[in-house]
Amino acid sequence: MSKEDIGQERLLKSGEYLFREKDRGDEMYLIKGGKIRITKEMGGEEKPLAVLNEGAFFGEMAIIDNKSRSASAIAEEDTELIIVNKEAFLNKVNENAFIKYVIVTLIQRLRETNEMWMYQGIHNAKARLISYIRYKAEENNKGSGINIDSRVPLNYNLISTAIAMEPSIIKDFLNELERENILTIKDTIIINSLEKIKEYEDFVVTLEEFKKIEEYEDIVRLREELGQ
Amino acid sequence: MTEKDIGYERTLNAGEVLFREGDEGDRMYLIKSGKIRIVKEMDEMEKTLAVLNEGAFFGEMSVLDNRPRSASAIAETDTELIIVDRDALLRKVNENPFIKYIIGTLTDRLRKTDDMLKYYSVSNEKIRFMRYLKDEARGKDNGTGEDIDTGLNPEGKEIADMIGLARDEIRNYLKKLEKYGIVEIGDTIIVKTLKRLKKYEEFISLQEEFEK
Repeated sequence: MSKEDIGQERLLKSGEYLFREKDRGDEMYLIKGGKIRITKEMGGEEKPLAVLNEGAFFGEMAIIDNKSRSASAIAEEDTELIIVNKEAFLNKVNENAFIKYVIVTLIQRLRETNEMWMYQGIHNAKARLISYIRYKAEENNKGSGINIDSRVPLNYNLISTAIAMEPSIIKDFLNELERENILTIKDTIIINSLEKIKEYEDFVVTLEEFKKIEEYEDIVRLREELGQ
Repeated sequence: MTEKDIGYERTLNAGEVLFREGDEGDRMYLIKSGKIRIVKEMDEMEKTLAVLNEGAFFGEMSVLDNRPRSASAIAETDTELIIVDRDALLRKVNENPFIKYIIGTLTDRLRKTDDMLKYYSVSNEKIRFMRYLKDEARGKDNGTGEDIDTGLNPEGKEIADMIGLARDEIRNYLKKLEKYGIVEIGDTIIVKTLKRLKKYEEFISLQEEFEK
């Protein structure tokens, strides 16, 4: 890339967000000085995916596949960025059809594995499925009002691969969620309220936590009773 | 790529394994017909990462970074593959330093999330930590039976980022391992005996299994 291809600079204060997951974005950055933390939501919490240092680039995924940001970028300390010229970058990538295919495929796989990682960190199976549905619904709903019906494709094989769960179990959970009025199953999954599904997800996680504490307390009590 | 660069073909029967996770490999493949299932071991089970169809390529990561296969490839149906010539791919990638940098970075990131995926799927945090430490030590082992310097910082920040545990938790586990004579803690974490670390990991895995 020549001098002119390297565009403006941008300064961030420590702790400042550059962009958030699911934002639209068409800028790619190079770190001139400082550090950028890349985080992704996992079951309602922000978890770090990487910390990038001077010389690293990021933000290229949204440029190449025109999808929303797959993760958030936050300045870990005061940071200087160079905004890479989008056209110059795309020209380079497009120069050779085969190279373009390789890059596009790598990015697609990165998105998929990042997502799988996000779901694998949620060990309660039901919470994992709800988190998947909510995430997809939010992705499809970005930009419109929060309480408009959101749809998620009902493809058992796709969901099964993404969250590592048997299709039969997915089916059972979905039926359960329909009975609880969280969603409606037609040929797609229809979510009536994103707020409600978020609340339900929190509820499932909290329930699991308390169950663990209670089980533990039961064991302690039992041991005391047995005089151990 | 020209005709000449597209090398041999290879046919697989349904169910046949093309390569396994951890194998050395320097070939990249293009699916001419059929389907390939990509699977990875996670929490001691094989999980499907993707099912690839006609026109998709795979196996490029080992060609690009010279490291072992990050996942296994199995024919889902009878499958015809075209073997893409390694040198032709590398020539194309190396033609432009910027492209080389982009592809190199994407490959690194993919490796890293693959690894993170593997560890996050282990729900028991103690087992998750032991497995990570064991893998890191194995990667640095020169086979002489001497102490293995993992290069990992005992403060636990980088480990915490990689496997999603709290730093305090990591330091507690390390203290325990030090007490058992399995590790030594200096500027970095030194594994004194890989054999005992493996044993200990097996022990807590069994413990978890039976307490369930």
